[in-house]
Amino acid sequence: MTKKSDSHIFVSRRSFIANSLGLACLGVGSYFISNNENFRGKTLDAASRWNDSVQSVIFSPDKLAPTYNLRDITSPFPSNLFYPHTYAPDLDHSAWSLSVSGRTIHKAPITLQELRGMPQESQITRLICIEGWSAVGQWSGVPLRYLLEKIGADTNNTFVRLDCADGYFTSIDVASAMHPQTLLALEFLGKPLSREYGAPLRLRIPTKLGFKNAKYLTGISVHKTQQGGYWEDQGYNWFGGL
Amino acid sequence: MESGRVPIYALWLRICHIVHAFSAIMLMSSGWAIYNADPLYDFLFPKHISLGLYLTEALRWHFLLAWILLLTSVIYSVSRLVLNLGGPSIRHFSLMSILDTLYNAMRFSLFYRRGEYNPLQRLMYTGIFILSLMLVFSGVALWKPVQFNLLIDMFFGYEVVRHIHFWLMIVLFCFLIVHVCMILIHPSTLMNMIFGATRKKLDSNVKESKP
Repeated sequence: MTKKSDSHIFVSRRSFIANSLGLACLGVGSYFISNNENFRGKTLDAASRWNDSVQSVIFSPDKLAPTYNLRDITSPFPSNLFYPHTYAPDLDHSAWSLSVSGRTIHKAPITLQELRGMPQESQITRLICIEGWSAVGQWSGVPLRYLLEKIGADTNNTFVRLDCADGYFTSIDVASAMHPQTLLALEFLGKPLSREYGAPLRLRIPTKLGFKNAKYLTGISVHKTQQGGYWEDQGYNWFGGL
Repeated sequence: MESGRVPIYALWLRICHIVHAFSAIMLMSSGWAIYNADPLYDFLFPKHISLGLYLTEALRWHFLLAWILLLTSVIYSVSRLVLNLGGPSIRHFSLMSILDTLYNAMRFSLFYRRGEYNPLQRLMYTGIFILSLMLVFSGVALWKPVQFNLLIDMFFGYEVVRHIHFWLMIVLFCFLIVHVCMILIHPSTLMNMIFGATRKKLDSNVKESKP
């Protein structure tokens, strides 16, 4: 390096004032955004909607979630209800049926017996929670795609909503619903779902975050408009894709 | 700007720098709130320095800012790492030149030439752009472990990526501390980067920023 000092710097008055004003605007702007409840909500909402659209573009209907071996299964597997376990619905399996509504041809409720008679698939996949933790489990049940085709669901840019016995609900885009790994799970670890894990029927969708995997299902419906969800309406990103 | 003077940093680079700085700090802060929802290690980040009262809000902040950081990281990487534009060169540093700089720094006889980086600075700034990109990539891997499962495999699995993303944040945090300390030692650098100070044009036979 040459030892020739060029230490004379220069900031013009105009540039100093312009830059100071720029900084002040940035500061006041950030302060306003982070403190104004309404503006903050709208900005963050807009970013979340943008995030939804990017995700639906990124989503590939043929891309399979990684599958694992029996020895990879997490034990004990977290049940992760959002309320104390004693409040978990205890449903009478013989009286239970899945209601069907919205944009479908057939609307007859589906019994547990009928679901057990449909083609079954099994998967060992990773459930990833929005909180950050993940766990590998084994689920078996009816591919949602099979059921949607059977009830004659409108699958042209629609949304599938799932309602639960505990008041929980969620909705997913129809492309994710038709994904080959999306199951209406009847079994966990080779045995019928226990009360803790969502008996008698839950959604298992390895291409979405944990909160989309609704437990204690009571109804399925198909809609033209996005239906939100229990957590989604409180601010979690709606698409929630992995 | 007066004739015969050139800005040490281009205006677009200075804007990029401040936006990058704001989003990086707020990403760390909201990241701490997200960490607290399911701590990887046996400690929590203090609530009052974590952005987002609830996990829902922390995540919404994190994803808004992530888009901004992605944009500034791309601008930075292309302009500084690839094209070497917008400010003093960050290219050309050898192990010997870095050791030499460290030796001089310890003797408090480090020569500082305005509008030029010493080899240690060149190494640090090259490193921070690469770190920024790795933070973005590990974040994308955590966000899309199914769609971009190749990225997850590159980082040795989903649970490992969580730890990598965390430790990259720690490195970024350490860089920030050193960076701010250096500004406190040399406050005139704040003039260059924030207020757009200019310097005399070098003689035409002295090629810019090549040691």
